[in-house]
Amino acid sequence: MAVEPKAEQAPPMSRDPTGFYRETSRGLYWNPTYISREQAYPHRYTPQSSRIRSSNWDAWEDPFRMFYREYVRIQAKKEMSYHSIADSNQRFDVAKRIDRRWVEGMKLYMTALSNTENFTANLMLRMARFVPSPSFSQASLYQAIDEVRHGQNDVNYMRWLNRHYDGLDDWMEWFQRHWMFQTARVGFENMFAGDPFEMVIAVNTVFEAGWTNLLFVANPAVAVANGDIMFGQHQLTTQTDETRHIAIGMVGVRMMLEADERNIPVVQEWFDKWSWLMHRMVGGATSIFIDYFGKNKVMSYKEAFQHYYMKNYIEGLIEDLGPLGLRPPRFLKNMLEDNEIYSHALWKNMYEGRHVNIHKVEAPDRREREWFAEKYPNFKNRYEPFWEAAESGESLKLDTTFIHCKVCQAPAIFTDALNRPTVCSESYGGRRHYFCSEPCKWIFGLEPEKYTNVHTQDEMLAQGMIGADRLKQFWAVGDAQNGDLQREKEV
Amino acid sequence: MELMKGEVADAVLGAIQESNDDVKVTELPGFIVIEVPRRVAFDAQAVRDHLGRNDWTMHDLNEIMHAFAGNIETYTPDSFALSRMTLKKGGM
Repeated sequence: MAVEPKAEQAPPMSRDPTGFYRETSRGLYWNPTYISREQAYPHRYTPQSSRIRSSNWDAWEDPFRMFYREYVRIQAKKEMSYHSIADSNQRFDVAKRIDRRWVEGMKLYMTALSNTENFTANLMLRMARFVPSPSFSQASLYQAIDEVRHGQNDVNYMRWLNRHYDGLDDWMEWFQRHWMFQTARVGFENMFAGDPFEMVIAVNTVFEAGWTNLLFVANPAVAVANGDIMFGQHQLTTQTDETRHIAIGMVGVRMMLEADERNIPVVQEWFDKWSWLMHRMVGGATSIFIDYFGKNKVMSYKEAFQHYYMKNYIEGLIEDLGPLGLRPPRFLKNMLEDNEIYSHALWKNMYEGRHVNIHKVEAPDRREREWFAEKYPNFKNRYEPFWEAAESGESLKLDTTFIHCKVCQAPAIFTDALNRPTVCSESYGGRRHYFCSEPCKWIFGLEPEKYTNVHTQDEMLAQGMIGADRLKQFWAVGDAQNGDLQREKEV
Repeated sequence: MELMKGEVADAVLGAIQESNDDVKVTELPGFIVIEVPRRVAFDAQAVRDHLGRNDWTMHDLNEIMHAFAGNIETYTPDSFALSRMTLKKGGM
């Protein structure tokens, strides 16, 4: 049966969608006349204080050009299909078939993700207000609503798993205080305190375009191989929203590079800084999920990085934006060097701290270690002896804390290609500050004042801000026995 | 571009194959990867024909497209084109 058209003339939107979109989004934006712009935006993130210059903010287009009504219709469909899969997972007890080690990983993953999604929603709203481009403001509002959806679905997922397994409950407290989440928390706070355009580079161009495919596409493939179909659907539906964010971020970075040649070094500085910090915040986390939490292996983190980051992201980005002056990230070499040992250094560190973790850390068995040795040439020399010692019954617990990096807050546990520690330091304001690596020291040098008053956990301990005997309470882990949190027992 | 598997993904793939050459498809758990050299373009009408439904617009692509490489050249309710970036002369 043919459908009769409702009106003789098509609505304006379908006659000329681009023109209609321009009219409706630009029409909501105006220059104040009764008061100055500075008075209208009484905040330090004003367009005037930004380091990015442009004479025509209108040039920034959202390629998806979506109207609110369309946006809501599509998002409602996504939610319907996500929740029908969630229902079916509950109905058929899929949770019981997930590999236990993957479940333990979800305690870490969802605690970090639910909180950072909420952080990002806030960031997007700041962009909507302070980036002086009408179509970007509109797109940022949708992005903020997207992030709220993601954060809520993360909590919904935790609620589902928590019915079958304990320990996915204290995610807000842990994110604020537990030692393992401080790299993520401080990293997002760093973004928060930035120039609005720095946020766009950090979130849209570096994080969403460069890293979310590792996080939300490579990771779900590992999840599905370990029985977690729900996670697969959850992350893919999240990633459909990310495509919009990525598209507008790419247009944004291109606009900044083209608008004024004085923007080029500024964009490059932010690109260099955030590429490295995302390597710490997102890369480190993803590496342990792909290599360790997934007992059934799909690919190594090193391989996933080559495919999703190097081939799909960096190569295309530099091919497209190289002619406008963008160069590959300054610390790409350090990232690649780190990747040779990244997941192994982190997993060993977590194993040594398993009495203060929120999740269980298993020692990899022989079969896994052979696989690691095949994928990572340094594994056999540097990490195999540790796991052999663990196998022969040595306790290998650490009761002391590492120096934490003043910038990224990661423990200084990394080594370079020649197995030398990458920790380094610098004096500023009469004090010595320590960094996990040269790139973090370089980032500190850009804005030292931003970091000097942020305390790392080892500093808080040394200065008596947390008592050593109160640490387990501070971290809200109670009397943890490798993932078994006995929080009702006061310690 | 990468699409979450299902009947809509099949219809989009059908539309792409009709109007583009050298389309390569790879299947992965939960999704398909479609690769086309340099440029890919297709219309919503072709997708509707494959689906056998007339309420699908290009905006609905956002429901299932979770990754893409390149730059979006056209995105209207009726058509979509994705290509490697071509730079305009003289800037903005």
